Amino acid sequence: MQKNDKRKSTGKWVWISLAVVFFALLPLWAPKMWLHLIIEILIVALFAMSLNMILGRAGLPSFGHAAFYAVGGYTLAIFIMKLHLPFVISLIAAPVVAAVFAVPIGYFSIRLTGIHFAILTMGFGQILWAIAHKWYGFTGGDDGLTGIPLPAVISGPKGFYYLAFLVFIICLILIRMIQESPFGRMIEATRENRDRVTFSGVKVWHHLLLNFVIAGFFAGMAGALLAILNRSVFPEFGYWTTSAAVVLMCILGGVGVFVGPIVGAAIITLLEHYISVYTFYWQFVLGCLIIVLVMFMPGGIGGFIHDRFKRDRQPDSIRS
Amino acid sequence: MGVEDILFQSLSGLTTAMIYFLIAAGLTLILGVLKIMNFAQGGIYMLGAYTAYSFMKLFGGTNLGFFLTLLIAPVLVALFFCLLEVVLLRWFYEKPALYILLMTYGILIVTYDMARMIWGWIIKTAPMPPMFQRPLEIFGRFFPLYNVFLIFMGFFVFFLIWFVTRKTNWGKKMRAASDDREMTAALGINVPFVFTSVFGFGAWIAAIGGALVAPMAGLATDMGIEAGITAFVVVVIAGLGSLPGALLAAFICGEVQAFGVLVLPELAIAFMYVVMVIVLIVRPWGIFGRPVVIK
Repeated sequence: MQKNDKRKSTGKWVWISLAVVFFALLPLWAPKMWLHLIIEILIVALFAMSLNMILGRAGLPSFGHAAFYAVGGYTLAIFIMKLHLPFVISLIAAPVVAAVFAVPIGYFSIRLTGIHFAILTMGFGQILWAIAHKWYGFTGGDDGLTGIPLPAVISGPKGFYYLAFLVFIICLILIRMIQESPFGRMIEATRENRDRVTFSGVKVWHHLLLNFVIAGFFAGMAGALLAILNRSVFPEFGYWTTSAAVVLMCILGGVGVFVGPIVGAAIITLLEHYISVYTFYWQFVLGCLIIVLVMFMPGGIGGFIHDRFKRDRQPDSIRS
Repeated sequence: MGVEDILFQSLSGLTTAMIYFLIAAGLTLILGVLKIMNFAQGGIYMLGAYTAYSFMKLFGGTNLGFFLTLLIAPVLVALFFCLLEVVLLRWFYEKPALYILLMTYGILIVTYDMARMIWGWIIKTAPMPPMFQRPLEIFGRFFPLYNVFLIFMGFFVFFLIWFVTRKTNWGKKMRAASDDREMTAALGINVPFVFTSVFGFGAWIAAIGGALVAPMAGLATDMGIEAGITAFVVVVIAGLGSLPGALLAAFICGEVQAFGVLVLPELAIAFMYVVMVIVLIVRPWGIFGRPVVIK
């Protein structure tokens, strides 16, 4: 049995390293268009992974996660354009500032669960959106901030691809480590039975808040990368529909599976890209897709495949 | 700023409040009875407005045409959403809240694009019925007569919902099914039918809200997404499922909006959310809500 497990895990590592090598060598032959699309997928996937720390692991449906995405993007843009700080410092500052914003929002939201949690996070997100939308002097208002100057190394698609890929891999490893740590397990336990974890003497509230802040940190990182990709930031990064879309990606991919959000993000981004070539009504297709998905695959695509292969494990449920 | 200015400003705040109430009332009814959060409510409101626009054009912008539209258009929209409820939603009432949120979100964006396909991308303006075209002079200023009608309709819808849920047989079934589905079903009441009818009634309220707003403002498909979030905020401030709460919350939001604009015009769109966050921090279950977790 142990041998079997070992073989299985070796196989897994072979696949992972093959995938890494494939993506690392991709810019050598792939056309520019593809690179752009893959970068976008990586960014959105990171964003979805960060949300899944709250949605999937802690079982709290956040509908305001785009706020941190926007804060990350705006931090990068404002640090470079208004404060004239070097690029590297701005890139590091973006997730930190997003995490700082996550502290008060998490402080008030974490006490609630279910619908109430969803709505309070959404309310905070909407306030930030409204401020970004109207504060012309600082955030550029609804025009956003455009034309962020970038260092020469990453201004081309290849250079930026490697940066995004590197950041993505590092963040993914960090998220995995956090989820596998005793802390991550504790978060999972609070999802299953919050009262019981409380009674065992753990300060649930501190754990959940820290988890929320870490998720905000990674969302800010994704937002900063998105700002670099677009060379601009807009208030719409933080609008509630962005939050809803990323929730959808997590559900689509499957919240109970580690790579689920990545799968969901890739599917939605590719669909958006290819469907919008043919029709203006891409939202219509997306809406129908959501409806079909919820009807027939409540565990998400990732969960669906997962169930087919491993019948011994139940898909993780979401607490309402 | 004199007393008259304050009164006048609060009157325009009341108009906004009534629009908020009409958007939120259907949501609060559906939430109270079916225990689901309906993201699609904004889409229903938007479809109500567009359908009303079409009918008003069809009837040539007459007074009679306007009132006929108010009778016909919301009912059509409500029937359409009853159908959707039967086909899509009723399987998910007992499942975790997230599924129904996603499902109704899906319906919202489908209706959003449907409206674009049918009515196009250009902003539409429905004709104002002739009898409301003259302004009313109040406190030495001119107040649109239509707004007075709108305020009246807001209160009318409030009393209609109150009457239906409290005084009719149908309302009794609703409340019974809301309290205990299984027991109600055991008493021989067709619970799924009651739920469908409640959903239809909630849709009708949102649609009539849309139809009433149609002559006042330009119609864009985005209005659904905005209205959806407005309804959410009002319902949350009110306490989930509370009808008087919804009226009060709409009133607070409308007045804060009306007076806030005078002080901080830049942040006008944020006021509602600020009110909501303050209320939720002090009373997480809303003004009239009970401290329970709703699935």
